[in-house]
Parts: sequence; C-alpha cells; structure tokens
Amino acid sequence: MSLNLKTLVRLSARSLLNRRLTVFLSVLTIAFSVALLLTVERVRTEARTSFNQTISGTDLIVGAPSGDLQLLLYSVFQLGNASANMSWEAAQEIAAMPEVAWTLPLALGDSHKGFRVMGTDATYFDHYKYGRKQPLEFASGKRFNQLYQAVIGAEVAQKLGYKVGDRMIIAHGMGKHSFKEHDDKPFTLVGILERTGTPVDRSVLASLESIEAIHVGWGKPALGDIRTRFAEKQGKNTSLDRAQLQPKAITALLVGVKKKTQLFKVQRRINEGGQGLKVIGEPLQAVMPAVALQQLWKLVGVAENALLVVAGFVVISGLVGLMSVILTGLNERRREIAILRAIGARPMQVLLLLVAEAFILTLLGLLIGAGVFYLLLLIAAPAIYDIWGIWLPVSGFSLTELKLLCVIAVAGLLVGLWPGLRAYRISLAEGLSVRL
Amino acid sequence: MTGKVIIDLKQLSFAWPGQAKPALSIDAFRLNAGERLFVYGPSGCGKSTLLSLLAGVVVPQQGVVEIAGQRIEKLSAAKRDHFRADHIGLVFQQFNLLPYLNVLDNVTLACDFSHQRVTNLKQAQVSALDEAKRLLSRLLLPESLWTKSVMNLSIGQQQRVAVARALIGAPDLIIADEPTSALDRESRDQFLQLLMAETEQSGSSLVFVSHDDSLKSHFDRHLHLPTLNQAVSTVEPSAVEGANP
Repeated sequence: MSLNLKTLVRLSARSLLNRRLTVFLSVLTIAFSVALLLTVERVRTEARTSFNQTISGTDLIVGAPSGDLQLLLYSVFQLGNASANMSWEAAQEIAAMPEVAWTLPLALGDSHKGFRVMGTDATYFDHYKYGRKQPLEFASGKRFNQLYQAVIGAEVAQKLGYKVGDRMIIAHGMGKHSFKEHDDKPFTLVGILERTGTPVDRSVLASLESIEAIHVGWGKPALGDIRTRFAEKQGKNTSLDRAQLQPKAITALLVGVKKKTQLFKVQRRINEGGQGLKVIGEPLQAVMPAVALQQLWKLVGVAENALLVVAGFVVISGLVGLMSVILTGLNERRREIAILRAIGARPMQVLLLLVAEAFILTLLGLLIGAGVFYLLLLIAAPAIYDIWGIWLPVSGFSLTELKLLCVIAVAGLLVGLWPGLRAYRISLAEGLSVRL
Repeated sequence: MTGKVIIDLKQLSFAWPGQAKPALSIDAFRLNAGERLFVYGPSGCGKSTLLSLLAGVVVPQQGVVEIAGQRIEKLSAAKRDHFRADHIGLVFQQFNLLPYLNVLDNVTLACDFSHQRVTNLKQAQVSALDEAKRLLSRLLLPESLWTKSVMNLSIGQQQRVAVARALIGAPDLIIADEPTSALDRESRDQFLQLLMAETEQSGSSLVFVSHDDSLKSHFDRHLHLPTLNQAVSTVEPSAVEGANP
C-alpha cells in the first residue's frame, strides 16, 4: 500500500550490501551451479544439433554389417573404425540399382598429421549435404580432379596453416606420427572448404584412385596385383592411370534414392543379402542416418538426463544454502524487524522484504552464473571442438535455457518464502518489543 | 490544536495471549493534543503493554482505544500498521536505527511507509530530505554525520536520529519508551530538552515512558501507571517484577 516495491527492493538491497561478505558465498554457489546446469544443457543440445546436422540429404549408408550405430559413427562421424570393408563390386551394383539416384564411396584408413583422409568421388561435393541440406562450399581453390590432389576442411587448414598449392604427405593409419608415411607420393592441395561445423572440417579429401595409388606396394593385396602394379609403377615411373587404380574395397557407401517412397525397398534389398544383386554372398547393411541417430539418442539419453538431474540437484543445494544463510541471519535481525514494524511495516511487508532478498540474491546468482557460463564457453569451446568435434557457439540463451533460468528465479522466490514466513511470525509474536 | 483528543481510553482490558489475568485494565484516560505525558512506574506495571496498545500492535479484549479520533481497536491488523505509520512516531530505548542505512535514509524511511507524513510535508512545502536535514540540525547532529553509517554514531546521537525519524511529517503522537535509559546524565538532559522543543514545534503530543521519576519535572502531565492500572493496583510491584511481557 504505502510501501512501494522500489522502496522494498532498495531496503533489501541495502541490507544485503551491509552483509555482503556472508551472502557473497551463497551467491557464488548459486552462480556456479547455474553455470554447470547451463553448460550441461548447452553441450547436450549442441551435441545433438551438431550430430543431427552432420549429414542431411543422404538416404542410406551402406557398409559391412556391424550395427546401425557403428556404421553411422565410423562412416560419417569418424568415430571408431570399420570392422570390415565392402567390395567395390557391391558398391557398383548398388549404384546401378534403378531406384538409386547417386552413390558416394568412402574409403577411410589413412591420415595426415592426425586428420583423417577420406577417399571419395569428386561428386562428393555435389551430393554431400549438411545442416539444412547445405552443400559444401570452397573457401579457396576447387575440387580435386586428378591423382594426388587433395581438398581439406577448414579446421585442417587452420590448424596446419595450409594454403592452396601446398604439398602434403599422407600416412597409413591414424595418429600424428604414423610410421608408414607415403612420402613418395606427395599430394597437392587444390581446395580448402568453408567451415561446416561437421567432421568434414577435420577431413582431408582425395579421390579414391589417389588413395588407391598411394597404397600400391602397401598393405596386403593379392601378390599378383602387387607385382603388376609394381612393374607398372617402375615402368612408367609414378604415372599410374585411373583404370588400373580401381579400388578393390571401400569402407562405406552413401546412397541417395530417386524417390523417398523407394527408400525402404532399397534398404530391404541391400539388407537381405543383396537379393537381386549379382554380388551374392556378401552381407551388407544399409541404415538410414536419422534412424541410427535416433538409436544414438536413446543410448545417450539416459546419461544426458542423469547429468541434467545432477546439475539440477547442485542448483537445489545452492538454493538450500541460500535459504539457510537467510534463516541464520534472521535471528540477528529481530531488531531490524521490530524497527520496521515500529515505523509501520506490516508483517506482510517484512515477509516480502525477505522474499525480495532471496530473489535478488538468486537473480545475482543467475547473472554471475550466466557470465561464468559464457566465459567457460569461450575458453572451453575450442578444446571441446578439438576433442569431440562439437562446436559450442557463443549465442544467446535457447528457449529451454531461458525456461531453466526462469524456474531457478521462481525457486529463488520460493526460497525466500520460508525465512519470510518466519520473519512474519516473529513480527507478529514480538511486536515492538525489542529484545537485546 | 487544543481541544482535540489524541488518546482516549475507555473501559480498557487487555490480557496477553495464554494468560488469564489481564496485564492492563484502565477505566478511562485521555490525552489532549499538544500535551506531554510522563508515564512512570516500576517494571511489570503494564508500561510496555500500554505502549503496545497505543501503537496498535495489539488490541484490547475489551474497551476502546481511540487515537487521534480513530478507534484503532476496530481496525484490521494491516490498517493498524498503516495507522501507526501515519500517526505515531516511536522511539525505543536503544538500537532504533537500521544499520545498513545512513543517518538521512534512516530519518526519511518513516516517509517511505507513510503517505500521510509525505502529504503533511507537501502541505508544508518541504521535501522529506530537506525536512530530515532540518530536524537533524535542530537536534544538533553534526552535518558531517548525515551521510555516514549510523554505526559511527554515539548512542546519544543515535537516539536523536530516532527522534528525527519519529517527528518527520509531524505525526499526532510521539511515543518514547525509556529513550534516555542508555544515556549518561549530560546527554540525557540535552536529549530531553531537544525532544521537548521539537515535539512542541511540530505540534505532536508526547507519551514518554520511564521508570526514572526524576525526569518528571520536564513534563506537564504525569501518570503513575500502577495507580491507573486496576489490573496491578492490588498487587505488590515486587511480586510481578520481571513478569513484564
């Protein structure tokens, strides 16, 4: 009535400022718990977004049978390794199916300074889409069209400081210091891609033939094959031609169908052991990326929720700590309450004063927590990107995050209610009698 | 202002919750506007109870408490709080001030809780801040202390700030509960003089409670509460010592 909200907030703010040392720690506790909650939520959603946006426009991923998720992870996300390859003939069979619009072969297994090398077709740049069906764009240079040419992702370019025209050596196997460097076949860098936020950023792309070429004399192809290739190589002195470099096997095949309605039919035919295909006896597996991702979310959903619950409990314990600080302070503030009552404060206003106090502290905690969160994001984002390839953008709060913050703010109001009610009772019971 | 009745008590009886025997029972009592009343008596004679009733913190089980023409026993608790903010200035024995506000803010705080006081000041065409400054200088509080924390003040200075807060906006009634008991003789006399002068200036009535009847001479009316209070008049004062709620 006579005491407006501004006065109320001013009073509780001044009171808090007077006790800043004692309340500071509880604000800090809330701040850190809020930062933790926001981080868990952000990492969770960004991981999903990042995974979901990595591949779009691809209808099927085909590979040797290993499990839907595993196939997706090693072929697209560069996580884990293929347990087996699929034959080049099978890939060609699938490409020739009438329902299939396009296919992209993927050959993995080589690396350049810790980055994966992927052998594929030049049409990769036409068919591979990410995010909302965005195609890959070149920051500089162009796609590969000859042997020993490579295109690199934005992250590779940034980390290694490469420019178009640079030479690079591909190694067999992963790891920064591979023992088997194909240093007799340096690649020329012909293109650098724009950043996509997908594993493509950390890939070195080259034609299948190039990859095949550097493996001449390596691995364990048939003895006869080696001999002919070796002779060929010696004879022509590193000028191998395309026809002889046809790959024997690839790691996986991305498939686009002509009509979405034919998707299940194609998938079934491939899964049923190549029924209707010439290559019989080679077991294959075709998965839909979205379906496999769904499996992934099911799998990690439990862990995600557990993390969120833990973060939630940390926030709750922060709020409980705040409540205990205010409650403890209440005993020393009986005089303050009596003074306010003498001036004409109603018990309800005394209650509101304490609720305002808890609310102000919670808001302060939220504010500092958000600050810590963004600071954390700025500092940790590059490291997280390096390790998991998940880019955490420093962007405004999502709707879910805002909702979480609002819930905490409301909880802050509720936290003030208990000390407020106690103060209410004290002011009723003790009236103006000021006890020392 | 003379002729207006500021306090009018009739057939009053009050017992604290959970107690069968009334702590205060007064047949009739009146205080006129501008009067300065000295209430004295030993501990347990019902002084605090009387103050709580006058301030509207509690209401009597029976009888009438009329302050400045308003029967406050009929008001709701919230309205009584509002009424207290508007019409009554309270000064306690000690620790009257909020430690987190400076001297001036402590004085003007009374206006934050009362429209009436603000209106009174507006009619006199002064701002709350100017009036607070005027009162503080009238009460001989050095200007250098005005924006300081009240923690830096001596007890005597704190009590004078409390008087300024009670007086700002010229409420009808000032109630002072043993305001000098924590002061030494010199500050006590100075305090009393200033209190008298300023209540007179603002036209407020004063109820001054003390167990020290040597202060009597400063006041125009005296009330020996044990005589008026029928609830304790038959009991030896020593028998109820310390039973004051």
